[in-house]
Amino acid sequence: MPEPILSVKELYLYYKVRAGLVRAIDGVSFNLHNEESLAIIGESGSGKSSLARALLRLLPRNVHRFDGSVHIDGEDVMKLSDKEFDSKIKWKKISIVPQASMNALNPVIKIGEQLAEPLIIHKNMDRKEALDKAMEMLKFVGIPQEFVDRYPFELSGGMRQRVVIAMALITQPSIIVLDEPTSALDVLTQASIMNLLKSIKNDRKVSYIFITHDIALSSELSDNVAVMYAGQIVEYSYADKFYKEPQHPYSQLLLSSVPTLRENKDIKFIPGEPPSLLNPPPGCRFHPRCPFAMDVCRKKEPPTINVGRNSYVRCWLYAEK
Amino acid sequence: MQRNKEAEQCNSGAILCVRDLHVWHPIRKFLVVSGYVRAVDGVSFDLERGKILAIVGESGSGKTTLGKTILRLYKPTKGKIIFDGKDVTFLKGREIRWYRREIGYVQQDPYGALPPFMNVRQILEEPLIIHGIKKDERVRRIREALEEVKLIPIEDFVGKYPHMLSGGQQQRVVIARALVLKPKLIVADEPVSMLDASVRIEILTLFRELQKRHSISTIYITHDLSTAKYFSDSVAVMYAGQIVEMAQTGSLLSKPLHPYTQALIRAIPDPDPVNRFSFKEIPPGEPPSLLNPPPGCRFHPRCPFAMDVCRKKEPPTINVDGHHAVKCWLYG
Amino acid sequence: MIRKLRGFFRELLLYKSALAGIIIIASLVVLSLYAVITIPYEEAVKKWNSIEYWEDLPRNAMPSWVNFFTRNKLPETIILDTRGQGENINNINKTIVPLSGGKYIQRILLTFNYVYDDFPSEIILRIYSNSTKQFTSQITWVKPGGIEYILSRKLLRGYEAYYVSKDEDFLKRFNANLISKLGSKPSYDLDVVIALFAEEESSILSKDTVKVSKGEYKVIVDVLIGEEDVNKVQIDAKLTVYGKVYGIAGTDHRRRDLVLALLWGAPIALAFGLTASITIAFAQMFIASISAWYGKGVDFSIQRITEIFMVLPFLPMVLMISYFYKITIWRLLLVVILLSIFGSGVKSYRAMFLQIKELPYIEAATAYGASSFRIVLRYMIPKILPTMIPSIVLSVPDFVFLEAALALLGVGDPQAVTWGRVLEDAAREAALYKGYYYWILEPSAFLLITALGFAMLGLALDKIFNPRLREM
Repeated sequence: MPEPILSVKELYLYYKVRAGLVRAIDGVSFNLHNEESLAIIGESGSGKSSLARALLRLLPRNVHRFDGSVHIDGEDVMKLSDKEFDSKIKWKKISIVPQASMNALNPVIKIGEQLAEPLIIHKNMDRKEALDKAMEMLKFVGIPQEFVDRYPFELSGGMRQRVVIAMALITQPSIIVLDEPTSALDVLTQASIMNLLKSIKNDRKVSYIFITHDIALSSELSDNVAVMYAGQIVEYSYADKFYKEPQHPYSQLLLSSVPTLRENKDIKFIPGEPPSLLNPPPGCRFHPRCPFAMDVCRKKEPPTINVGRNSYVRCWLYAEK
Repeated sequence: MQRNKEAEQCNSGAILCVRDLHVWHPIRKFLVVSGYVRAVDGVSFDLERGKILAIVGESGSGKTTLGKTILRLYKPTKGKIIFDGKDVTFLKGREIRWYRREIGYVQQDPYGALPPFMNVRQILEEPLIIHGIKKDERVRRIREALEEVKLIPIEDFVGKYPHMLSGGQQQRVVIARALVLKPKLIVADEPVSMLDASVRIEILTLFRELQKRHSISTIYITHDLSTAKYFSDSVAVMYAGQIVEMAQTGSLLSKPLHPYTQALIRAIPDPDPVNRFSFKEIPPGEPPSLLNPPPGCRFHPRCPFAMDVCRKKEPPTINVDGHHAVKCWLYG
Repeated sequence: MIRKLRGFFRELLLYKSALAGIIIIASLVVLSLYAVITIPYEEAVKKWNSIEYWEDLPRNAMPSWVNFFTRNKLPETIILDTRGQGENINNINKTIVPLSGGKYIQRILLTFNYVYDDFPSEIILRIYSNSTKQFTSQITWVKPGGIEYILSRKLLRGYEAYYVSKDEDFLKRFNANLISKLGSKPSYDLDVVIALFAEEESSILSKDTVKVSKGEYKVIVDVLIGEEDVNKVQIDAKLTVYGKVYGIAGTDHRRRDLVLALLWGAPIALAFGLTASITIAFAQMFIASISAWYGKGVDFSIQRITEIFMVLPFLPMVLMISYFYKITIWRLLLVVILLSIFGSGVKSYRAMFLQIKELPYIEAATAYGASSFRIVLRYMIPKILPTMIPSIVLSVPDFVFLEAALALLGVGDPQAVTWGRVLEDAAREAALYKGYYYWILEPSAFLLITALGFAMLGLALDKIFNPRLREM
């Protein structure tokens, strides 16, 4: 097995808010290999967005704790200073398509200029060369080249999303983090964006970290799946296994709560509400909503248990007695 | 084959009968009208008593405008809305008060739908006070409504303010408020799209139970065809202000007739790991501008089966075997 | 509800500025209550505008606590009244001295001790007789050390007020006397008060060296009465040696104790400021709600009316109105309110209402049949009330200052007892030029502290209410 291109071990991110301490990332570990796409599934408040941003060192205010190891191409980038990270890693090895990114475009700057910006900043290209590359990239993501002189408001939501994807791609990083890249888009537009992402992966050989709350959508772009709950990864598995045989009770309930168009099944729902990251429940964080909760679940946090090739669960059900 | 639903008589078993409804918003530049946004452009359908009709469409399809016009939050430009045999199309002011008692509205944003400075009791009391319901009856109905949406024990919730409730609880209050006047028709506009995935099914299931128990006719507006499958008796698909296909839910999903419906269904993923290996066939382009829709069939610029007639003449609504109607020249 | 209020107060008090503001405002309220309870309004106005009431107070006297800070002790007022209203009854002596020829002299001897380092401001001797007949009187002044001067002879009929310190005649005589005694003229213009109180030696010749003669002073009032009147006529005298300090706040040019105006200025300022602020805010808010909710024609007309009012020059209009009509302070308040109702607040509240109008819960209310009236009153206004509170508090000082500014410009009630009036008097009397700094500083200080209190509280309230409501 070749070395993973991204290796995260015991990553922690806590930050302070008025009401207390938010444990957004509470001991997360995973690997990402070359040309692989990892889907991170979680509901709101699971910490998945914090994880996405933390990988690019886009941290919230009042950080209380941020440690662990993040190896990209063998180098522990957590040891780099902010300046070094910006110049060596950010947008060179890893980039991000942020949430609600369509609205992240500057409304008073033309598309072409915005697209060229990462090249000018991170690759020190001169303006003319960067603009040329920008036009190429527009073509690649399926936007007519005349649009290079248009402003964001002149584009539809789907087109703006393509621009933002192009911006993440243009410096040719090997890892792209996608944080809910299609959340505000219509069904058809969403499908075409997913098509685009798939073709980019095939052509450019990038690896994806695809963050979403939409489980059905996650299957479109996942070789591996990690399920986040209350700041922790509770299950990590490969796609073929996960969607057919989810191990963790939460994963099972999640999958059975998805209304499927083609299958006919009984849908179940998960009782209760997702926990707050300020005050997670003791022991296993899912125990208040788990149909299989045992005594030990209420008291002790479950360890990470290997349940097969490249898959693990954090659940007492799988612990050896 | 029958054509032109517009000319059909209203089915007496239908609680809501919409015929040739148009809602056009004028665009004003300094008091001069320069054009119209044709949000709803010729919609006809019946809603049978006690049934759920899902209206499915993407943004800009006109589904929200249709829902709000049925609630008479907007004024129709042309056409007819017949509720329980009575024409409510152009009523306003006092004349329409009785109608407001018969309909309920569940909105998309649960927090925004509740006045932040009123507690649960006050929120639920408002519709009752407005329609002159006496104090004793009010107390009884509030209690009933809260029990129905399972916000129990009631004492725990009546004094709470919206910001003290979770998203799911807020939406339950919204549903309770819609139920408190014992309406015959409820319009639910994307009622769960702002809730967490795990809460959505719970709320929809609750809603379906209540609807069945009280035989409330429901219009369920959504962009999510997969929830429509589980929570509707029939589905109408909207595109560019018109209904392009309408059928009983099972039929629509197993045998979609309109190319747009087919594309929609193709585009929606199920959680299946093989998805990552295939590309979905999507009609190119975007939904048309509602200011200047294309001539003929509005879908023709994107349709893989577009014929000459599609570019010139608007297709009629064709009834294909009983309850399945489609607006497409392929079937004419 | 109470728990909410308590929680709110706890949050408010987290801001020290709010605490300071509340303390200041509370003190002003206490002050106002005290003023209103101890001296009712009409009484206060009457007193403020009377002359006799302040008869015994010195003009333009500084506050008496000034003496803590100076080496030279400034004099307080000394009053000796044979009618028993003075201070030391022991120092008042009435005798009857018989003369030859059936005449008598009714002699009043007034003695007082003068221990101050500075000269008095004024001396007035008032002589009363209970008869309509005319008598002659002679007033003698005795300095410590025995130097005597006959000040004047006055004809007395009923009542005679002798403005000793304005007696030019006596001054001439004194100056002549001084030249013969000391050999030279004083290098400055002496006045009577200095003449009567200074040490009569070479030091008197220069203004820098003149010294007060400390010790026992006597004033003798002799009235010549015939035999027939001796037992019938009663003569009384009141000697007022006006000091240079008085009271806590000093006095103004009409001898009025400034404490009255400073005290009463508080409730008037608060009433004016709060009434204007609250009334205008609510009126503007209400107008804006109608404009925003009903839209179209109503909105158009209201907005145009508002724009017209906004363009009208406020101050000149108020001045014009005050020239044509008699303005009491409450009518002024009404004018200010009427001119301000269609102000810029209408536009900003309207903008907020337009946002609120689009909120989902408003739509829901329309759907379940709420009337326009109910929606505006019960759904839109409560949403906007919290934002109004900080701006109401913050605008109170604006109106307090407005009243003061208008008073200074001569607009407003000439009889009103307000801080602005005091400032206007001081300005008219060139207080700064004359060195009466306390006269300007005291009302200004009150105005500033009032403004500070409301500003601090308002800013703290702003911090609390607005961030939350910004996501309207």
